Amino acid sequence: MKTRAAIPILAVVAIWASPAFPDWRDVPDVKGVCSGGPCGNQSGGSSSRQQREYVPPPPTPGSIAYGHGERGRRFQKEGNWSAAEQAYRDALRSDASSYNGSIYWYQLGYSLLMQDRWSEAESALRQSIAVRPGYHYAHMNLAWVLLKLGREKEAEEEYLAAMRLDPGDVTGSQGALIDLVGKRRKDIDDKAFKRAFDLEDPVQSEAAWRRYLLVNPGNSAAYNNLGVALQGQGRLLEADAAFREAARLDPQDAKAKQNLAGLKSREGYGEMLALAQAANFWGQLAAGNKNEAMKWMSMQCFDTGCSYVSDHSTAIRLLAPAAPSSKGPEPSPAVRNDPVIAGLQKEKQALDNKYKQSYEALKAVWDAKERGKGDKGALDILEYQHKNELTAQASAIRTAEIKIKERKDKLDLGVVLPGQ
Amino acid sequence: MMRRLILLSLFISIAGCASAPAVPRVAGAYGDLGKAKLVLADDSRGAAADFTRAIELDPGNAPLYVLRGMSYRNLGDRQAAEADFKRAVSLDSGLEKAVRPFMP
Repeated sequence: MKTRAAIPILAVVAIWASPAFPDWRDVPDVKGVCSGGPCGNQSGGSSSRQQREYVPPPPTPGSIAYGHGERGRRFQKEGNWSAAEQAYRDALRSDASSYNGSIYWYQLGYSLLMQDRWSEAESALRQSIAVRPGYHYAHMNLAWVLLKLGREKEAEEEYLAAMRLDPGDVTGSQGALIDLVGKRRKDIDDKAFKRAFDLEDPVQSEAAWRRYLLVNPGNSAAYNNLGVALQGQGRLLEADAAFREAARLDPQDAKAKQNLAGLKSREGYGEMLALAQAANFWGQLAAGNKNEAMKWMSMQCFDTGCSYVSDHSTAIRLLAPAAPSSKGPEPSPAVRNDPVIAGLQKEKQALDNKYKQSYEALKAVWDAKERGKGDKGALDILEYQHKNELTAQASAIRTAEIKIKERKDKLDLGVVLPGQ
Repeated sequence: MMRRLILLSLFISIAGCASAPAVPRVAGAYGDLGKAKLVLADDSRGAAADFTRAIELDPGNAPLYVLRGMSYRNLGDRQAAEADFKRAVSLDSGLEKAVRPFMP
C-alpha cells in the first residue's frame, strides 16, 4: 500500500527533477581513458600515461531538437515569426512525438497564427494535442484559430476542453467562453429588441417587451418602450410605472423622463391617479371578499398586470381560487338530470383543479422569490409561465360558467335542448 | 505514520484534480443563453442544449433543471421533462409546488 501510494508522487518528482535530455557540458574534460590503473595521481613522465582526449557524446535527436527549439524561442522573443517557424520545423524533424515534441508543435502553431496563417496553425496545434491531449494551452490557441476560421462551434468545444483541463483557469478559458456565449446571447437579444420595436400593434408590442424584460430586467430602453406600448392602449398608469422604472434604471434616460412629463401634463391625469388609488382599495377589498363580482374585478386587475397591486401578499389573496359558492336555490329537475350540464360541470371542476394547482405553483414561486433563494431569472420565467397559464385557465373557467348558466336558464324556461 | 499521512493527502489532492470542477460563472452564461432562447427566440431545442451544458458545469443548480424541464415540455418530451422536474425538487424541495402543474 505504501509503495502504491508513493508511485505517482515519485513519478511526478522524477519527471520534474530530471532534465529533458543529458547536458553534455557536465561530461568531465577528459580525453581518452586510463588503462591498467586509475586516472590522475600518476607520477609525471610515466610511460604508461596516455594522452587525455575530449570525446563529446553523440548528439541525440532530443538534444538536436532542443537546440532548434531554443533558437525558435529567441526568434519569437525578437518577433521574427517566420524564422521561429523554421526553427520549430527543424526541431520537429528530430523530435515530433515526445513531450517536448508537443511543445514544438504548439510553438509552431503559435508562430503560424502570429502570421495569420490560420489553417496551418490549426494543423500544427492539432498535432500538438494529438501528442499531448492534456495540453490546455494548445486547446486554447486552437479555439482562437478556429474562431478566426469562422468555426465557432468547434472553437467552443476547444475552449471547454481547455477549461476542463485547467481548473485553476491559468489559460483564461472561462473568460473566453463567457465572452463567446455572451456574444450569442447578445445576438438573440438584439434581434428580439428589433422585432419588438418594429411591432405596430400596441398589444403585441406590450407582450414582446414584457418577454424581453423577462430576460433583460435591467434594460431601461425596453421599459420605456413598454411604457409607450401601454400608453398606446390607454393604460396610462401602467405606462407611468414603466417610464418611472426606465428612469430609475438609467437616470440619464432623457426619453423616459420626457415621456413621463408628457403623461403628467395630460388632462385628467390627477383623476386617473385617484382612480388608481380607488382601484387599489377595491382590489384589497376584493381580496378579503369571496364575492364573485369582486373576484372578476380582481381577475381584470390581474389581466392588466396588477401594476397597482404593489405587494405579493395582496396579489396572492386576489388570485386565490374562489370558495365553493354557497348553496343557492335547489336546481330544477330538468337541470339536475341534464347530462350536458353534468358534463359541463365536470369539465369546470377539472379546470378549477388546474387553476388551484397553478395558483399554488405561482404562490410557491413568489415564496421562493421572497426567500431570495435560487436563480431569480429562472423564477421570473417560471412566474411568467404560471401567470400565463392562470390567465388562460381563468378565461376557460369563465367560458365554462357562462355555458352552464346559459343552458340552465334555457332549461328553466322549459326550452327543449339538444342532448336532453 | 506522519509520512504516510502526507503521502495520502498528496495522493488525494492529485486524484481530486481529475474530477469535473463546478464552474458557476460559465454555467451562468450558458443558463442565460438558454433563457434567451426559451423566452425570446422560441427555440426550446437550443435552450435545452444550453441548459444541459450549464448543468454539466454546475450540476447542483436546481432552477437549471426546471428550465430544461420546461424546454423539454415545450418539445413534447414529457418523460425527460418529468425527470428534470423531479431532479430539481430533489435538489430544492421548495420548488415542489412550483413545478407540480407540469407533472402528470
